[in-house]
Amino acid sequence: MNDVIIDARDVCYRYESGLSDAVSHLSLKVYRGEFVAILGRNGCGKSTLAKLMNALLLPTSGKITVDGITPANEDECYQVRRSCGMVFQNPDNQIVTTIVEEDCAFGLENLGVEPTLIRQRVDEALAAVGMAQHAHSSPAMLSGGQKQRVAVAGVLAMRPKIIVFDESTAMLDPIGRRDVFQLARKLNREEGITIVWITHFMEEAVQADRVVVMDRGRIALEDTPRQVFSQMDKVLALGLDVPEMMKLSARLVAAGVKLPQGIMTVDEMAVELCRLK
Amino acid sequence: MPIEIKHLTHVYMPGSPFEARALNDICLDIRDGEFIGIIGHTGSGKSTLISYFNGLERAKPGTVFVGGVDLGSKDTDLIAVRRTVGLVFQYPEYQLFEETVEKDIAFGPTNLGLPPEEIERRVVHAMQLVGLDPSRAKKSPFDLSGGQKRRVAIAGVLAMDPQILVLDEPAAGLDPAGRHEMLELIRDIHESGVTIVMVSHSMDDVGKYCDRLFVLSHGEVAYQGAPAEVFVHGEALNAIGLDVPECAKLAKRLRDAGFDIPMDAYRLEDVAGYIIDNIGKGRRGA
Amino acid sequence: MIKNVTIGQYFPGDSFVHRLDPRTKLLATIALIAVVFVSTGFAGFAMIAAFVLLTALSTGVHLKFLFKGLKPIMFIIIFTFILNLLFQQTGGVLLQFWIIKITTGGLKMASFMAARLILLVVASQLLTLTTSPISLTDGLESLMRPASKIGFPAHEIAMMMSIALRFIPTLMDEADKIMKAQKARGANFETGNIIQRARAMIPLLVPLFVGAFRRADELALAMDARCYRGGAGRTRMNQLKYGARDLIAALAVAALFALVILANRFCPF
Repeated sequence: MNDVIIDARDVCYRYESGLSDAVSHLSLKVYRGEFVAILGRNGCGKSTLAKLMNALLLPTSGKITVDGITPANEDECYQVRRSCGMVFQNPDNQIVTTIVEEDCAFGLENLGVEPTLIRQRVDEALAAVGMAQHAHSSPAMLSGGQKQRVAVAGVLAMRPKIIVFDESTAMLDPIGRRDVFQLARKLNREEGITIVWITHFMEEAVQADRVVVMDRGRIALEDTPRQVFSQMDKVLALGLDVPEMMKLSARLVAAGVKLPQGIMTVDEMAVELCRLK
Repeated sequence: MPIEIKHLTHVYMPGSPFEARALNDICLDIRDGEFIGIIGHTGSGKSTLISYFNGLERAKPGTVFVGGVDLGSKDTDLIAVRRTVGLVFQYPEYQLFEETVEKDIAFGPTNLGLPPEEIERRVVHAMQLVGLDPSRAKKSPFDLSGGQKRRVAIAGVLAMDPQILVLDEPAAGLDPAGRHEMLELIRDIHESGVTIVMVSHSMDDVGKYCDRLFVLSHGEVAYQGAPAEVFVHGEALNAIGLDVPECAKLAKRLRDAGFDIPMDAYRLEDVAGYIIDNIGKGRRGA
Repeated sequence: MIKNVTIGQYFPGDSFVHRLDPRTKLLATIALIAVVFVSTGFAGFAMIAAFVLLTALSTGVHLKFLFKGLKPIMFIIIFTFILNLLFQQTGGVLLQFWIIKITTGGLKMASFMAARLILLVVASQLLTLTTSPISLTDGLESLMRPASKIGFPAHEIAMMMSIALRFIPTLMDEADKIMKAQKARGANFETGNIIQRARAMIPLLVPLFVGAFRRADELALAMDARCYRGGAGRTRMNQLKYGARDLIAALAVAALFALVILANRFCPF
């Protein structure tokens, strides 16, 4: 776990039209095999940070090293994109072709991989995301959640070490959201892929190994979900929400109920309350 | 202006290989001044259903009455209906097109052929209702942030001065603070006397704001009633891809463990109160 | 709602023709068009028509789809027919009243031109009915590839076509949504004179274009993220391969060509 896979040191990024830095003197380490959630209100720089991790943007100042490469020229950017895949927010705007399996092959085709090997990896990737039976479908016929799974397969086929999900569940319904999140968790646990999960949904963030809260281009909070969400007032002031059970817990504690700190889930709350009765 | 829908069936692309029943024998009624929630997962028919509320779709099998007017009838003045029932679609910010915020908001009232002073008055009023600063009136809507754009779009519908406002997932894609503000805004609009119909995925949101819910599944009304009556069906709702609010889940767990919590408790404040009562009682008993 | 409509008029199937390499079908269609022009008489047309109809029957595509493509150009066919009928004044007079004179030569020429147009449309219809747009694009890219050596952007054109195909349903769906939303604000797209109607399209077109540009932007980013660098060094998962089937098709078309040329020489009609 101590192996750093993404290392951002004092990174700044300013858009050409921007009046201030979208990402400002930000330092962050992501460890190999970790599941990190990044939270923050709209416009706090989360998406910019995601694009810096994927070398879609290069820092205005500072350095970001991804899997040992500090991208400076075009070739290095491509190397970074090979090891760090990205799944975007809008499922409709990241699928390139009209057939699921061809979209899945798109990345490998770009890398110039042998056709037989592409076929093999595409089949594997579609099976891994549970979309093998839709290999020949048109993306237009799929639900939002299914499209996102196709997008994940397209990234997965390239065998990345890291996958950045930039609000990939924001436009999905609860079923699609759950499916895509579970898929990311599975890839993290079973394949050891490092996951950077950008989201607005607290119920997803509580399941991460670590939570990073951004505000105005900087890191405002960074800790385990339990530690972060325990600072309820701070989190709310940053434009975020805290899990319902933490709000309930605060209310009960204020009324004199003796609950331990950091209860986040219904299960934990039920166990604690049953003990008190 | 009540809405009354009887035996509405919508067949999607009839006669083609894609034929499907998007709505099947829907019956529902919405009364004046209510805050209604319509919930269901993608493909449950929610979005199709709301297109019937203002005659964008015309009922073939079944009837849709708004304030006693049959929307299926050929003689119905649909512009009048659209003035009564305002429809805000999903991601409405993608429908903005004018050079300035005020022109965009004025689009609806202009289509109604209102006099300029009245249009002006409505634009100002609508901006105020959605909490847009008057200084933004002359700005391009395309320069605003996502949340602000959405407010402009909603103001554009409010400027039609509807008696019923239908919103399809008004909080989708916003951050938590933005969500909260948006929902509070809708509550304010409701309090100003507009009947609200809100389509949502979020049981937490509808539980918090709505008087009455309709749960759609596979084009049919699976459950309806006050939130508490609907949330009782926790497991059945799970099976159709919906989740009940966390506190309702906790309440059920605690009830099963012998706590005395009524079936209809789902609000955080209520559940907290019952828990405190229970623990207190437990201590006294000991 | 519109998004589930198939684009183009591809009629899915698994027939001999469906399974032909798209390049074979493209080349065969060009050959068919050529042979329609080569043919100088009705005997040749009869052979071509028989060939096209038999091929169509073998694909399992309903014949009514084959002739559906004629509808939009029916006007042109009729116009050509009447023009030739009235202005071609050779052979014996068939009918005469007022200033109109119809001759046997005119009738023959008119029928010939109409038959030629109909055959052209039906033959190309056969291609689009049995080939999915995407494999058509693949075929075109592959056929154009030699030209990329002299700087012709074969890959780029094919990529643009396939992205267009991919986004047509998405944008149609979006147009439908925007139209509904503006209608809900009292917009009227259906009535008014041509200027009023054109003006009424602005609230539809502006958001549609803004949306299309936003999508294009995001798509470009997503393609970059998946290491897209243009056509150079790119491989394809599904390689096009000619098979025995394609040879048979080529022979059949060649045979038709030979027959039509023979018919031109030996059959005067």
